[in-house]
Amino acid sequence: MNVLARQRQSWDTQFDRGAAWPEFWFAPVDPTLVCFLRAVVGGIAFLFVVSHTADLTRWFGRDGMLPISLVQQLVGADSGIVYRPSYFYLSQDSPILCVLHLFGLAATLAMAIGWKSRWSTIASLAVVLSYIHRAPMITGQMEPVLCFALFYLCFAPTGKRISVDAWRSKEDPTESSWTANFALRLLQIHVAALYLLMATTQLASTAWWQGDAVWWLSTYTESRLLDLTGMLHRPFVFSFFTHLVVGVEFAMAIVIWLRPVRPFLLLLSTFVWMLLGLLTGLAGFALLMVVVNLAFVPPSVFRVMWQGASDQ
Amino acid sequence: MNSRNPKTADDEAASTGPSASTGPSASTQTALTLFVVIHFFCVVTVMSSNYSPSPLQQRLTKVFAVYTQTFNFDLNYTPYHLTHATDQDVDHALQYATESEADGQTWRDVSKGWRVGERRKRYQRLASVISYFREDNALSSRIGQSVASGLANHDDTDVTKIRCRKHFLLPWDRYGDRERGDPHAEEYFQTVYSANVLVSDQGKVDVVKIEAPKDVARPKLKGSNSQ
Repeated sequence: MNVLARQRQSWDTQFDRGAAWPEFWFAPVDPTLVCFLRAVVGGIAFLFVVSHTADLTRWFGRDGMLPISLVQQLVGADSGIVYRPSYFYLSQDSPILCVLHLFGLAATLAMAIGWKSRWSTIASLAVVLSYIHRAPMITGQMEPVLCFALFYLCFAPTGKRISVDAWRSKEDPTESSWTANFALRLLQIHVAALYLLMATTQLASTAWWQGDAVWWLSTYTESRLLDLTGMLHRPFVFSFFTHLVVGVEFAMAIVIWLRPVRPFLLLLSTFVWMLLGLLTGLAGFALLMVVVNLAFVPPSVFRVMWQGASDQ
Repeated sequence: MNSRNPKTADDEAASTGPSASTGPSASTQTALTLFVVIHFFCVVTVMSSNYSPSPLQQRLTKVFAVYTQTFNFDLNYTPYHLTHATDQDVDHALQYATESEADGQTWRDVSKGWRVGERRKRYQRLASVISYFREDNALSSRIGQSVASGLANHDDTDVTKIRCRKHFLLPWDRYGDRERGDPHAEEYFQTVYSANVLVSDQGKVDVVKIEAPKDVARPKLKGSNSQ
């Protein structure tokens, strides 16, 4: 109650001053967190592009499994306008595909290491979108999250720290930035909306209401990484984890905005994503969700943590 | 809207050291506020349309597509619910048989890559696309032809048959059963699409759908969410 009262007092004070909106969006914050997110999201984007290497011509090549004409038919381009720009529509010839793929690898690697950070982040977004739009029917849960994370990082000064740019620059690395805050706020709201979507669509089925869903997830023999079916005679365990997943998702959408509960909720969410990653086999998606959750860590706290880790 | 500049870092930025810069000008704040409102209106509309959209949501999703589809904010029916434990929410697999194995029962998975990786998942998703369009003979054959073409031309295999199989989930009350508790038993699989593959002398690949594949009926199981 004390926590809620203090939070409300804080909000009342800010609303009285009429300053809540600009302070929420435009107050300068330390950029270390967005720089860290740039490095990790860039690394994941790089791995995403790498994962296409072995199958590049098998999927996108001439006489491949997904020729352009088939993809156009599947996305409905024959019957209406679709907005799926991709540089892979330029050609289906192997040499050109390889050149385009190498460009993708270079752009995402540049983003991960922080070389020309702003431009490499924009280029990485274009690269990832090109792979997705070339074959949207074989994308999964990870790709939309990767796209919006890249999109928001384009707004932030992501090269100020933990980057080649920072190493070569003579600028003051401690200068705070309102664009870092703006990007983090956009990311926070989008992540919270995604959690709300996940929780509400899960509750559209009885599996999640009745506490069976985690059991069902553990029966996907082709996908799962962890087999929990040995715990068959402990139904309470499955019910507990099912309700925990839904509860944490709702909390990440709504309760996460109360600062005092944030550390506990972020730890709990990390545990839930580890569990879901092992159960569903969607390791990349689970990892990415843990990463975007970091947007809720206060930038000042993250800076102290980062400095502590660097000093050690 | 209050358009004064925030002169200090907020309490999240705290007083741990970074030298504070000023916020954007009043006109920039107004423009960005407008962007934020429009952006999230579009994003929330398409996100909420991901599962069972209303006619209004479908119309708005089309209107916003120029923005939301371009940047992939439109989730496009991605199953973020992870499972609803229905007959549609199951693993799918694409398999093929080669020249010497066509008369036998040896089938190989088309999918490649680690179990944990996205590479393998892409093949599973393609298999579920075939399963989704199985009633549309023209489209399912078109996809089947592309898969066979990819196998014949890029893997250099003498593929003679392809098939797509669903792997149904084994309900709770069957797992303890010694006789019917094996999730890999043939009764839990259903072939939803299969075709003979014909490769011409010029290398052109075609498929002929097998109209009556050896379907295994979905077992009627107590406790499963057949919807």
